[in-house]
Formats: sequence, C-alpha cells, structure tokens
Amino acid sequence: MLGAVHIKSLVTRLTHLNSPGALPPLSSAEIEAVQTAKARHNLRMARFTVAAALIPSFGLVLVDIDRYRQGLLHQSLLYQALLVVHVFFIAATVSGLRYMPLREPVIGPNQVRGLNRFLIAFLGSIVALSLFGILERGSTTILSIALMLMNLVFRLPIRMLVVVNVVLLTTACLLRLGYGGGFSSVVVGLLELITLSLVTMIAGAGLSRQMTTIVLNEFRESRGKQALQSELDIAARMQLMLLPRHWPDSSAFSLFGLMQPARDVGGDFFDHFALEDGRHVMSIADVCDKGVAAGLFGMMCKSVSRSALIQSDDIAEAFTAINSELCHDNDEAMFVTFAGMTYDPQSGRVRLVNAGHIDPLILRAGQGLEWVRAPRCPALGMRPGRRFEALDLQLNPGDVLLFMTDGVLEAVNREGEQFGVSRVEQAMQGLQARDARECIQALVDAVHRFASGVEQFDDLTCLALMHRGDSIPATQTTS
Amino acid sequence: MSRIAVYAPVGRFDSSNSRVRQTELMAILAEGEGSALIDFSGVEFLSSAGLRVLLLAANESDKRGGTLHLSGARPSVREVLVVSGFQEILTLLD
Repeated sequence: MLGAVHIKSLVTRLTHLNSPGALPPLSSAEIEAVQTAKARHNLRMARFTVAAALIPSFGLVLVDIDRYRQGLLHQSLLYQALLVVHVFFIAATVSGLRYMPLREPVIGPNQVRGLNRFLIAFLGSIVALSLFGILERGSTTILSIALMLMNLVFRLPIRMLVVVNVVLLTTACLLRLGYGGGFSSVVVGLLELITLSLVTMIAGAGLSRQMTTIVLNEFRESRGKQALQSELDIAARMQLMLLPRHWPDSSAFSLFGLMQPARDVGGDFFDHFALEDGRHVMSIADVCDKGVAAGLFGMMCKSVSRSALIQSDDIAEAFTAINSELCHDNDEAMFVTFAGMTYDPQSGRVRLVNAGHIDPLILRAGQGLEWVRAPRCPALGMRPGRRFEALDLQLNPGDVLLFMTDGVLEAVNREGEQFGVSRVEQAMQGLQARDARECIQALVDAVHRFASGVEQFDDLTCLALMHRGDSIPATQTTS
Repeated sequence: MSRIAVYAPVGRFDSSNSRVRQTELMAILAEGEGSALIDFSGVEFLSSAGLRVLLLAANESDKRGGTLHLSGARPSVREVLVVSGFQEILTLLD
C-alpha cells in the first residue's frame, strides 16, 4: 500500500512539467493544457505502436512455448513469469483499445489519467518483455525497440526519460553479463544499446520540450484573446449604461432615442434632461474612432457636457465650455461630433448648436422635410478657445426633429453602396408617425432592410423629438 | 527653396489602418519640419478614426510652427472633412 503511494508520487514527480531550470513555473491550467495535448498526441501514436507491438508479442509467446518444450529455457519458474508478463501486456493493450476510437477523439483532462495508466502498463510490459528477451535469448533487439519507442514517440518529460533509461540500461547490462558469451561481443552490444538510449533520449526530450512550448504559446494566446474580449464586453455594457432609459411622452412632446451598437465598442451616446425653467435639453454625440478609448472618452464627454449644459444660461456658451474642457491636455487628439439643443415645450422654440455633427432633419407636419443648417462649427476637442454659435428654430405642433449619427448615413448594403442622405429622406417622406418612437422605428427599419445580410460596422444611433404643443407637463414613461 | 513633404495615402483611411497611417504621416511631417501636403486623391473612404490621425498631425504641425495642406479629396471625403470642421485646422485645397 505504502509502496503504491510511493510509486504514485514518484510518477507524479517525474511527469511534472515544472522541472528545475527548464521553463518558468507554469500555472495548473497551463500544465493541464500541456498534459491534455500530450495525451492527445500519445493517443494518436498509441494506435500504431500497439498494433505494431501486438504482432511480435503473440509470436514470442509461440516461440517461448516451443523453447520450453525443447528444454532451452533456464527454469520453469522464469517461464511462468514470462507468460504472466505476456498476458499482462496483452491485457493492457486490449484495455487500452477503449481509448482508441476510430475518429479523432475529443479528450478531456479526466481521460488523461486513464490514458497515462494505460501507457505506463503498456511501456512497463514491453520493457519487461525485452528484459526477458535478454535473459532468455541474450538479444537486446526488443529492448532497443522499446527504448526508441518510449524515448521518441511518447512525449515524456526529460526527468522521467533519464530515470527510466538509467534503470533499464543498468538492468540490461547486469542481465546481459549474466547471460554470458564472448566478452567483446557483449561489450559491443551493450555500447550500441547505451548509444541508442542516449541519442533517442536527447531527441525525445527535445521533442517533448518543443511540444510543450507550442502548446503553451497557443494556450496563452487564446487566454489573452479571451481576456481582451471580456474587457471589450465590459466596455460595451458601459456604453449602453451611458444612455437614458426613460423617454418622456406627453401631450406636450414625445422624445425617443435608440442606439444599436456595432460589434466593436464605439462612443456614440445621447442624453436628455429637463432644466428648472421647464425647458428640455437634448444632445447626441459620436466619438471619433472605436474601442475602449472611445468608450471612455464618451463617458467623459457625457459628464462634462451635462454639467456645462446645466450651468450655462445659453447653449452656445455651454458648447464653448465643453470644448475647452475637452481640449485640455488632449494629447491623444480625441474629439467628438456633438449636436445639442434646448427646447421649450410650451412655445416649440429650439436653440441648437451643431459641433461637427451630421445635420438634423425636421419633418414638418404635412409640409415635407427640411435639413437644419446650423452655423458650421468644428467637432469638440479640436480647437481650443473656439467660440460656438447657435441657431434658433421654431417647431410647430406635429413637427419632428430627427438627429442621427454617421452609422445611419454610412450603413452599407451588399453592393457596397451607402444608405446616404437621399434614402433618409425617402424613409421619412410623408411618414405619419404618432410619436417619436414610431419615427425612429421607421428610420431604423429602413436601414435594416437596406443593409440586410451585411455586418453592421458602426453604431446605429438616432434621436427624435416630436413637438405636440399642448402645455401639459411631461410625464415620464419607461421605454 | 524649401522642399515640400508630400503624403499620398491610397485606399481606405479608417480604423483598420489608422495606426500605420499615423506613423507614416508623422514621419512625413518630421521630414517637412512640421509642414506637409497631404494628397488625398487616392483616398476612397475617411472615417472618424482617420480624422483623428489628421487632427494629431495638425496638432503636431501647429506645435512645430508649420502648415498642413490637404488636396484632391473626392466630394464624399471632402464633405466628411467639412462637416466635422477640419477646414479650420488644415488648409483644404481643391
């Protein structure tokens, strides 16, 4: 019992990858990955080696039976032991067959242990057979084959190879000397065996190391990709958290915004909130570039713009303040196209600033479309000290003011054409929307129909305000 | 007579190649001691990631006291430049 535990710990230590001075210490997940890969490799190899080993094994049983009849075997006890080893070898081989399905197996860490047990039994018995071969026939041929097989085919770690080779060679030398024969032929035979053992051991250790390195690299690479993906997922969730979830819909006005994120994290966002004097502030923004940096810059823009829009009396002043804040220490040259407005639900008056953003569109109730050409201002974060100018607009009951980002205009169809301004007009022309949400839905549906079957490259973001004109205070509804 | 450093990118100018473009453009700017002419006649598409590279270049050019000119942009690309206000930070030529 104690012996079994001892052998088990010995085997564990010998097969352990963390040999001194070899590779830097590996994590348990990495060791598991390497062991699984090696087991998979050995499994592939085992099919062929087992098939090859079974033939001489059966043959030798017949030969030994014949030699026993002729009285050539030294003693009957040895013969019985030899038979036991043969039986054990065949049993191990047959039991190993369940690890050898015909198709490429999917092998998990749990199967690794079973396979290793099989391999140890298989190798152990072939080694025992070859030692008997020396004892009974004075031939080292089978031992040579066993050493080559073990050293080269199975990716065993160097420490295990050294120990097993030394034990085998010592035993083989003692047995061969005991068998007798001409001194020089014995020495030549043993030297050949030792050379073979050393050469194959060194080559085998190299192969084992190579395989470990390849598997480790692949494993670490896939780990790195997973970590990056989960960071991107977090950033994407944060981007969605930036967006308001409550949309006013009352007899005074209806407001709705939608963002459908692309696969990569972007920096689109919109915002709206009521001011103390009853006016409502709305904004939409598109941060340059994509990725986590754009997402973080978007978050900063949102908080900076909100506080500036609340504190400033006039929206143009607020834009000047936001711009100078975003320009400050902006070494990475991040910028954001930003359109914002204040809206008075009672009068329908709108004061709008457009900083480098796509022009908004007004759907005049029963009168067609009108692009809003506000004074041309650069995107925010580009020009420190720039002053921004606003445009005053009047909305009449039933009018809809629609903002979008370039994800709408630059949506691409299978032919590579862009959605473009004219298709926006087509989708909105004569639209009989009851509220802002229906208006957004009509636009997004048109984009989806146009771009069906093409992967969305940019965030699809739009925001709509419908002015109804009744001065009953807005009630909050959840979208 | 001073030499003019010219940068003439071809194809898309977007997030797929913005890092390479940035390195190339900065090298050209260094060669032109802060001034350069960007020939945009080969650019088919300009995204916001590309605009950011232009902004980085304009800031660098500003810092070195140079000027940045951009020429030959096709109408769709020119509109992207104008809408986002880039005619204020570099000189747009036809």
